[in-house]
Amino acid sequence: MTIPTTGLTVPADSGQETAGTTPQLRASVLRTLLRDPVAAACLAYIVLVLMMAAFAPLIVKVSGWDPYEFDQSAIDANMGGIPLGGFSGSHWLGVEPGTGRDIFARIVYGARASMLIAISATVLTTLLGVVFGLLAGYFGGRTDMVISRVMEFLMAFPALIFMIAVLSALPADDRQYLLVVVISVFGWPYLARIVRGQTMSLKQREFVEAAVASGASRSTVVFTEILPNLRSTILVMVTLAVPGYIGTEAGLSFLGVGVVPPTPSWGQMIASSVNWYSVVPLYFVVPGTFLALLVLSFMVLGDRVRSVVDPKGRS
Amino acid sequence: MTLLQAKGLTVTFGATNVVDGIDFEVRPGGTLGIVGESGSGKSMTSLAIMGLLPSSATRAGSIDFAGTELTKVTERQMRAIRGDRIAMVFQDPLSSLNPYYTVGTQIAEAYRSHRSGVSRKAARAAAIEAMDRVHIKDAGKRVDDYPHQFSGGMRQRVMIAMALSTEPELIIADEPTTALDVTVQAQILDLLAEVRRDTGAALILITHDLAVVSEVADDLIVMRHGRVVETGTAEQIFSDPQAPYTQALLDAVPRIDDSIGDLRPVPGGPA
Repeated sequence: MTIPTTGLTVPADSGQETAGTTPQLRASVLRTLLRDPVAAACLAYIVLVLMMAAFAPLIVKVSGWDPYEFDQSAIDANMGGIPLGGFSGSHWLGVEPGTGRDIFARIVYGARASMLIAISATVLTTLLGVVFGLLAGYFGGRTDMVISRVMEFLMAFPALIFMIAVLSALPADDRQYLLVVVISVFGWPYLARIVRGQTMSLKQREFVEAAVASGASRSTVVFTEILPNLRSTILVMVTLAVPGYIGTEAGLSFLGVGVVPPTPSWGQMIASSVNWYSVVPLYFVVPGTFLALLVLSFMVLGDRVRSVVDPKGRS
Repeated sequence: MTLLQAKGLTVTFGATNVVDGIDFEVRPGGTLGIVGESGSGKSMTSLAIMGLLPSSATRAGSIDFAGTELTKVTERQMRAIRGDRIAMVFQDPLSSLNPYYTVGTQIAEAYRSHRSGVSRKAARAAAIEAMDRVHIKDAGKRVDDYPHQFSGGMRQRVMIAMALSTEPELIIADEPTTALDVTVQAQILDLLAEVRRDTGAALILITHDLAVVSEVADDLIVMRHGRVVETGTAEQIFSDPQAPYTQALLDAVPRIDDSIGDLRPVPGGPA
């Protein structure tokens, strides 16, 4: 007795159609972004600031003023140091009241501090967040418990107060490095939590089981099966982290525990402009505009990146 | 001469034996069908062979694979056996493939992980050859396609190609046709039979579908509640079932040449 199976006579190669229903996700993220004028503008501004930071010494040579150079001829000593004239041919964005230092040069060098700190902090938090998130999510159990408790502790900790305390207590020689470390220590749990959650769901997927069944080691599974599937999440988190850290650096500089003068930074310029806001509003407007536009650009770009890599909104 | 011999194989979760002291053997190049309803312990049996049981489960008894006692080997030794000498084909070919890599990469990586010193180029050639062997047209071109560009049946062919690439002695197919529609099922079964003939690999076919095993299997074990209720050659069991449960199972299958009546369910669920 045999039990008949329907369709046993179907030739073996009749079902070879391609099912191209799922859209190709990763093909052209950058191209799609560039086609969107808003995203393109944001990207252009970010690239501009990055170039400014990278080529600061060259740019300053062209504009003619060093960021540390006092120009007594540009300020009125009798009036308490009010600048004589605003934007001009020699001082493109005016001068600092009181000292006569060139604002354009300080903005250019300030971009260095902001971008350096924000980008290194992002690299460090991403590294920590992804590694610990993967470990906690993949191994679970005791590893997960330890990492999760540490994350909860860090997230519940009053980070800003701690940063101010630590940064003002420690010697100010290497403030920039210290800033990166402190920001990263408190920043990584936010990414790690998301990575952990996604890893937990990814490791239940059958392709992970299939990889284990084909003899893959644990590190192979984590780094070649799970990590690539986290790509879009990490990309989005990174674009949102950078503006956050730019803001944090500016805020800490504003509070006097950031980048040490005379090294210029945008937050510090905003802080020192407070005393002059009624007489020289331009001194506040210039760094404020640069900072606001940069944060906005990163935020908008992050949002656009998310909608491009995640068309179904399944973040 | 046996390739794989299980004796008193038991899998326990807490106080429950989901597989309860079963014995079976697979001859080299032979096909063993394991049939049973949901919860009968079929899949746990295959995971026990592969050493992939969840950590909350314990395994007892012995599994002898070509002279190696699989319950005694270290994790490292087991990893070398998995995918190389024993390969597995899973139920759902969509979720068994990583959506982020081309199928060629996935086959090549599976191959390379067991053949140290094989160049990427050679692994790619092996991947194309394996895809050719499972009758994927234009294998040289399709090797660079992503899983979502394949249909369900084609994905299962890719999974079989991946299992084949290392020329294993034993292929365990756990419900390989359940996620596929009936016409494709037949093709995949034909393919499994063909692969077995060509490579001489033995096959353990796990299924709840009697029609599936009737086509392919030489020997059969029928499982229920973690126990073997009947063992024998496929022919024997289909023509003259001894256990009342096997009888009931066969009666529950609709027949195309039978008058239409109500289907008969098998009484009793998993313990």
